[in-house]
Amino acid sequence: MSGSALHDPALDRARRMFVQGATRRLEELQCALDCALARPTEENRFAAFRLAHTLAGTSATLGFDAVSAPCFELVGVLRGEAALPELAAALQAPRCALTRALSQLG
Amino acid sequence: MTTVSLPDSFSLLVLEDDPVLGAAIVDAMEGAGVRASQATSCAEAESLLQRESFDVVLADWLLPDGDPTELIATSLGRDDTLQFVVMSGEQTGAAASAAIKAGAEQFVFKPIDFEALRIILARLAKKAQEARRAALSGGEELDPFGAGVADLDRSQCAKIALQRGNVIISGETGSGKGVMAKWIHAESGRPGPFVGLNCAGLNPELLESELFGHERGAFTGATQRKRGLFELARAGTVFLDELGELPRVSQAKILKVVEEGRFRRLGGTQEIATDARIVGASHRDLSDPSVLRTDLYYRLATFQITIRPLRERPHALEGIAQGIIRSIRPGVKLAPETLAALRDYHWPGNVRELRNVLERSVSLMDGPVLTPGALDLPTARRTQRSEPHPAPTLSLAEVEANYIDRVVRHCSGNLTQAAKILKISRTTLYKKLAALGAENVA
Repeated sequence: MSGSALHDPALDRARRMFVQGATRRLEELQCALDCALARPTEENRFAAFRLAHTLAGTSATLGFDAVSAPCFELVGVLRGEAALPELAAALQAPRCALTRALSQLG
Repeated sequence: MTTVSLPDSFSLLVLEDDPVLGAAIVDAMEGAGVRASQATSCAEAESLLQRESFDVVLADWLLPDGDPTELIATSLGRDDTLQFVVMSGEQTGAAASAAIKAGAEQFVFKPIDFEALRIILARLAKKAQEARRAALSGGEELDPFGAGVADLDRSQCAKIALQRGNVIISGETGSGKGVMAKWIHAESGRPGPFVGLNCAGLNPELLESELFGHERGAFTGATQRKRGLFELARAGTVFLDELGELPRVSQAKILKVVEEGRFRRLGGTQEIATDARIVGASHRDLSDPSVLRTDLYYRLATFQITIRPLRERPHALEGIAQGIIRSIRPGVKLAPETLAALRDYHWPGNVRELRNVLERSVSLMDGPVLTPGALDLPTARRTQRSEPHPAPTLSLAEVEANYIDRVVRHCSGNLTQAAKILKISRTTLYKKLAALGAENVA
């Protein structure tokens, strides 16, 4: 877990809330990623990018580095302009890492 | 962990689309004594910013309805004292650059370090509150205090400012009641706005529309909903100038607001809560039941400050005059004779009149020194004291001669009437006038 977040009671409460909603958030992100892979339009790619971006920022702030690291990786991949085969390959590793991290939270 | 203290009255709007992170920031800031609200989209934030006053907005960069650049521009156009901090999880400079260009003061990257955030917010809160204070004073230093300006000194007034109770400021016209009211608001640290209304000359309907607002169609001409001052001044101050002119029927309605902290817009059914503090001012004796209802008076007069008229503090006149001159044309000096003439005048319009006289005189004068000749005092209203004697050099006999001359002129040459005023016999008056060489003595 990261730095100053450790002992703040507000962050402790937020961490509990985050864990409770983690599965739903992962499902939403996976769904958005699938859409972006199936139809890599600007809109679909941005929707997935925004979800990954939000999850990355929140999980990093709350100290869930195992979640935030693959999310930041997803953000980087989705920000780029990779074509579909490259995009699918680039997303594979962070998606697996994210799934593992979130399953540990539950 | 180092604890950074945030101002007590600091208000923060957190614009974060992730409800978990938004709630965490609000929770943490409320724990530090901050009044914090949360919005999850630019549209929701815009709506909140229109209704309430905030010191700082902490906005995420990626939001469901776009980035907050337009919100920043719109909000700063409405209130340029507001401070924006933008945060983003995207570790690139593009968003930071765009946010700063739009008017944001700071950009922070996620993960957010809460302690660092507190430091940034504390600094910006101070900046916002100073900017608000400067805006209230119209660019001049907002300080109504000179030596003996009020019956209470600065520290006592500062203590009053920090309380929640209502305040009544008494004093003659132009003595600085409005400036004092703004100072109290600025010192109170109340996050809401300062809104003022002059109660003189308004009919009850218009007055109540201003104070309570109205619903669309409440009366002829009410084409749209209007928020009143009590609604606008949530967590702020409502300044009611010329409180003694408040119509009787409106006094009862204001009493209800003061007692219950709730009111309805004209034509409305919904009760609206307000925590606005009322500062009233008048040159009249508000404790007189024929001026203000006794129950309202006691509700409003939790604290009372009386501003002394300018003529009762001639020692303070020089400082005030020089301050005014500096604001009009820096570098202009007051000649000693001019200062003497200013001190001799009785200033029925107090500081406001002094400002007008100096503005007129300094604008029209040539050279770097304001001389008595360039001083445009309203001669028709000069008192006996205001005759421009450069220095008290007259003998008693000369003073007597001047006074006799003045009385005789006042009586249009009627010596019988003049003798009565002077409480001397007509014969004695004749003799004195003869000794003075008066031409009209028979």
